[in-house]
Amino acid sequence: MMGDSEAIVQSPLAIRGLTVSYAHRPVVHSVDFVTPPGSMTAIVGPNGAGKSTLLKAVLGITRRLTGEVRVFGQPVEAMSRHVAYVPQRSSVDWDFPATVIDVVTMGLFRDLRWWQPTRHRHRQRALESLSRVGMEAFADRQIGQLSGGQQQRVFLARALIQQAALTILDEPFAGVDAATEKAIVEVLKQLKREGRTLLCVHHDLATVRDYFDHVLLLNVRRIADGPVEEAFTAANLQATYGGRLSPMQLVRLMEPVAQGESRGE
Amino acid sequence: MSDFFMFSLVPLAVAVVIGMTCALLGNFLVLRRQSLIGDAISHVALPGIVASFILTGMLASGAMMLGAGVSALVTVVMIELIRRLGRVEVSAAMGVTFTSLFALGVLLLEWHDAAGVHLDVEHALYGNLESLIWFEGTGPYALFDPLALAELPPQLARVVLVGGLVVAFVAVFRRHLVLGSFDADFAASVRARPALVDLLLVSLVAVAAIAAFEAVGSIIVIAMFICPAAAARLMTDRLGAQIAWSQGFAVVASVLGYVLAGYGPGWLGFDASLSAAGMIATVAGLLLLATCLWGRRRHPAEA
Repeated sequence: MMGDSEAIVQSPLAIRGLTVSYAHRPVVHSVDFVTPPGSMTAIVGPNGAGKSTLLKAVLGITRRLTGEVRVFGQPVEAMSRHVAYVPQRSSVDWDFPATVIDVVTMGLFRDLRWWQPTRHRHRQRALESLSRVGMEAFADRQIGQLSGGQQQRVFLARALIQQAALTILDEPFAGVDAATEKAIVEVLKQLKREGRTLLCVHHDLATVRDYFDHVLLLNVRRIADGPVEEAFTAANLQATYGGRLSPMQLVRLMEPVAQGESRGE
Repeated sequence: MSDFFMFSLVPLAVAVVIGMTCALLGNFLVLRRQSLIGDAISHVALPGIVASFILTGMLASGAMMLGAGVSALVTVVMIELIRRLGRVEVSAAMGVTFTSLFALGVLLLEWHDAAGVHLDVEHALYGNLESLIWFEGTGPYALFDPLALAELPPQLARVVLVGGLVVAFVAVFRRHLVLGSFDADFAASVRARPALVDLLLVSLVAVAAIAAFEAVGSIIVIAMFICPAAAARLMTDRLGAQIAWSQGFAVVASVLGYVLAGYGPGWLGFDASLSAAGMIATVAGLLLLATCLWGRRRHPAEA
């Protein structure tokens, strides 16, 4: 049992001893992590480090072997309403017969019983979410006609409509152009200003300092976690990536971000 | 006119109801790229039905349904086992499963034939749509005569019941089905139980396939699970419209196929008629071909 300490009761996602295995091989091994409320946390690690698997196990998509997951101190099963999920864009078939607004209203799944039709006010909420990501003009567009960046923004709008305390994102910047990346980061930072928590699998080490305030370094096991200034260190990164980062790379990553010329623009 | 009520009304109604039922489920199979599961399940109904004959020694439809149901479950489990243990694609696992089980059914049938009871492969494939005769259906007034209605072939009531069950399932679980078909991970994250809904969908496919198998044979079931929905997908990019198109195609294929089988050879000057089930399946295939050639949405959108 997880203790009911103050930190766990306040955290929108506290994980203890989480292990997931495929074919008797642990993919995520005994991970403990308490997400600070109101933080914007990056999960960083090499390919195959179990980042996506960790998220899927937390969300109940993949079965966990052992471990506890708590949302505000309660078991996640009872609290999943407070957690929104943005899967990898490439995980779905975009040739599905649906429009942009159809996909966003899927985020209202929990609010609609089977006998309730999707009404004007639901459409209105979907349009509001779309306007937050700058996609309201595309509401009636067939999803197959969207660019990668537009698809990602539609997925984000579907999570926004859930108005969850915690939003979990799996590589939201994969395969999107720099302008879209900037737009998505702005939406995420706005969410953070509203007091919501964000947990995000992130691949680009160069932008961790710009975008995030906390970091979880993961390679099957938890290597380190904490505020970016404390945990995102050369030593921890080398431990996470098994010493495969070059000294040049590390030096560049350790530079504090200069005001006004942040990367990723 | 009395000919129509006696000989054509019931087969036509059964064909239309089965066509619409299978096409409705087929929409979700096509979207999930699982069209072959309908094929697999309707094939393996055969060994199940034969086994139930051999065990009970009679043509009781309850036992037949049970036998077919058990073999449908065996199929689903077998597909999953082959896929996991053999580490092959699901379509390969389905192909292996349904061909081998159907072959087993044929062997059982032959053995059974030796015992001198009537049941043959042709029957299993094409059913006996034309034999659904309504002896009391001597005219339109029979439709309002309770005594005559009581004499309707029981297959009609059975397929209507299954059709109603399928419509209810799709109506209640429409959001689960759409969400699970488009994005199963997200569906799981909002507790839409995609795995459970998937199992329910496959179970209903089995129920529909078995009910239809008994009345009309497996050819029509396979055609109706795939053709109307696949053709409808080529006509539109809206799911609601796709379902409506699939229902329209199913009705057209059933009616046109039935009429062509019964009267087509006569129009050409031959004194014969063809298998209605075979003709319905053929028309369904031709409709799909036509939408491939001229459908509005035959090219996937450029991403």
